[in-house]
Amino acid sequence: MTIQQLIEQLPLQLLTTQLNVNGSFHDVYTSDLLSAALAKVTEDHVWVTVQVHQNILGVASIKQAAAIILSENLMPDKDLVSKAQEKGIVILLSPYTSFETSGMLYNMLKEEKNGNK
Amino acid sequence: MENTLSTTTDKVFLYDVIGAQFDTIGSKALAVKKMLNDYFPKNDYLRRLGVCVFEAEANLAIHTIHGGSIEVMIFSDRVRITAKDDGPGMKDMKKALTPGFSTAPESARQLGFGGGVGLNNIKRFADYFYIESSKKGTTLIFEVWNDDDPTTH
Repeated sequence: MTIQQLIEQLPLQLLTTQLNVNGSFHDVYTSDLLSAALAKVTEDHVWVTVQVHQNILGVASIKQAAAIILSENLMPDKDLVSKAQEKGIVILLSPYTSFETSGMLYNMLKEEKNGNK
Repeated sequence: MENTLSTTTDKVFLYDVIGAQFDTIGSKALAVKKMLNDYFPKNDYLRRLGVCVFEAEANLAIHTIHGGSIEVMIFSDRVRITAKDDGPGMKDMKKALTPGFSTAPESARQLGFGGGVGLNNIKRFADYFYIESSKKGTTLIFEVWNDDDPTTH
């Protein structure tokens, strides 16, 4: 699934508007603990969190995450968004809780997998 | 591959980490990863190293009095990282290496640090791990070998 499809289907708000959203992902990891995300997130993952501070960019950048979804409409400051754009990290905003966002993503990925069979 | 610490190299890089400054945690790890790309342009390898250096950097920023240093030594087949500080050291090494145990302050926990899995992440992603600690400071040495991924073993 591409990030563009994800944005349209949930729907989500793209905060890093200058970035390309053609990239794809096949898995999701949800955690607010940075060490857990560091261990588990890959370039194939979208990472769901409520953390909205600068350190999430370091984690996503090291692991080359496909995108970060900030749940519960937790809007980061402009500085974080501009730094994310510099680093090429896609940031999306979800109105739902991390649980709800993850649940919807789980179903979408499952549907896609079944559709491809 | 021999596991010794006797090899010499002239490719040594030093990075300073400021103590009690949380918002820049990860910046040195990214700088190290970027620098190493010239020597080991392999994504998986650089990601493993990046995770380990991030955790070492976080420990220096969160748990030390004056911050510390991260020394990166580059060999043909591996990278050795030495993270050093001058205190206050770990009171109980066994506890510090137990997943879930953390002495991180509340201010760090609110940012998603202090889960008590940082050192274990390094142990998991590195091929060699050594740590010693006293009141005078902590020295952490780890190596990541450019062969295969230990997490898939």
